[in-house]
Order: sequence, then structure tokens, then C-alpha cells
Amino acid sequence: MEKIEGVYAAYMTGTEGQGFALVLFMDGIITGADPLGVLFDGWYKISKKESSYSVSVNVKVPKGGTVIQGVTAKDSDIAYDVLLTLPRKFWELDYIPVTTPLGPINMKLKKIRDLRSAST
Amino acid sequence: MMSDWLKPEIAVSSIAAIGTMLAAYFAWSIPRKIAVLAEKMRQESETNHDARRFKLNIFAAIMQERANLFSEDCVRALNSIDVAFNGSVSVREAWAELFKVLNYRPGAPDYIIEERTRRLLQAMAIDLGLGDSLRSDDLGRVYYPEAIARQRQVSMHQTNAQYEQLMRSLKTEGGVTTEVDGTDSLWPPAPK
Repeated sequence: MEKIEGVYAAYMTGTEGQGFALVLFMDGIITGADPLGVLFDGWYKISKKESSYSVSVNVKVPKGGTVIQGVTAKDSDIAYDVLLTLPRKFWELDYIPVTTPLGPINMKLKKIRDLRSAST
Repeated sequence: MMSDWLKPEIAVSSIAAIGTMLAAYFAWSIPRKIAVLAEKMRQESETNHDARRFKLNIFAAIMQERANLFSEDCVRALNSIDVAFNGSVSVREAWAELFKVLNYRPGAPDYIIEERTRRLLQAMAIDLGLGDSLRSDDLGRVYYPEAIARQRQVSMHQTNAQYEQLMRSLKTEGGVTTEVDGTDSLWPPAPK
């Protein structure tokens, strides 16, 4: 299976705006951030049939932040989990639809470079 | 003869003559120096006054247009900050922070732009000596009637439509149309 480890540029469009984030996939860990302080932290693993990746990401929105789904974290930080399945070579797709508790988004993950994982 | 200079009456006369010449010199040079100094102080005061007026004009322009930072007047004022406030590190740092979010594509959230605009205005007010009388609430209070907001939106949409028409006509020059392939765009479409 092709290497997923790498640094990715994530371009996201929601119902109320667009956003960009830098995301790292390495050794089963996903982590990243956007320029306005939203943090992404989670894990990924290869599915049993090796045809896709199961992904879980916790998204933390700082107090006062407004996300591309149009929701504002008025009084305190907002944190929510996103579960999704990424197909193989997802970085070659035009975009991936993602359902979040705050609303749907479309996300394009563009691989910037490969990284060598600690296990290889 | 040498001994004549030593006579008391001649010595006293000589000293008096020298004293008179010195008095005449000082009577001429001191007023002149005072006049030069006064002129220098006047010029400095005028320069300081002009510099302060320049700063006040920029501050006023941004205060007036803080509900619409993209107006021509506001853009001119913002671009003059580094020149007018060149001695104020806090103002220039606040401008640098606002500049970052104004240039963030596809567009930073409004609350961030508003907060950084307020910080910039606060820093300018302090530099101008108005910091005590202007509070953060004062800087955040904006009167922006719906009618004016709509007028500006209509104008903006008209400008955008004209721009798109112009770009289309440029692309089809010479009979060759170069359409932008949507799939090559970095940004995915909005979810349905």
C-alpha cells in the first residue's frame, strides 16, 4: 500500500466559508492546525481489507473563533470529533465530503511531501 | 617709544578701546545668534505640528471608515501608517498584525479583523496622547446604517460583475477561449 505518511495542505469549504490547514500524517497519528488557531489531533489506521483508512480527528476551536460551517465558539472553546473513512490515494481526489457535528464540509488534501515513518 | 605704552593714561585708554570693540562685536553677534536659534525652534515646532496633524488625519480616517476598511480613504490611511508613525513601535506592530489578517485568503473572520483594528486604533490613540479619553468601547462602537451598507454592497457586486465580464472578454481575445477547469481549483466546492 502506498505511503500515507507525509505533510498535507488541507483546503476546506464549508457552507459559510473556506479554510486552510497544514496536517501531518505519521505513524498512525494525525495532527495539524489552521492559521486562526483551530487544532486537529487524532489517529488513522489501515482498514482490514487495506482498501481505505479509518480516521478519527478531534477538532478544537478556540473561544471566539468562527469555523467554516458558520458556528462561533462564543463563550468557550468548542471541541468535537470527526470520524471518516479515507480511500486509498485520497490525496489524488478532487475533494472528500466530510460530515462534522457542526455541519458538512468538503475537504481537499494535497500531499506536500512524503515523510519516513519511525517504523521503516 | 615702548615706555609710552606703559604710561597709565595710555594703558587705560587702550583697555577702554578694546572693551568698546568687544562690546560692539557682542552687540552685533548675540542678537543674530538668538534670531537663528528662534528660527530653528520655530521650524522644529512647525515640523512637529505638521507630523502630529498627519498622524491625526490618518487616525481620523481609519476611525471614520472602521466599518468599511476596504474603502479608498481607509486604504490610503493604512498604507501611510509606517511613514507617519515611524517612531512608534507599538503602532507599527499593531498595523503589521492587522495587515496579516487583511491579506489572509480566503478571508479572516470578521471578529478577528475588528479586534485587530481596535488594537491598532488604541495604539494610535496612545501615541497621540488620546489614550486616556478613548476607551476600547468607544473604539468598538460603530454607527453603520443599513442603507449605507446596502449601497456599498450593490456597488461591490456591480464592480465584481464588471470585472468578471472584463476577464471573460480578455480570455476570449483572438477567438480563443481559455476556460478555467473547475477540477484544477485548489478549493473544493461548497457542500450541498
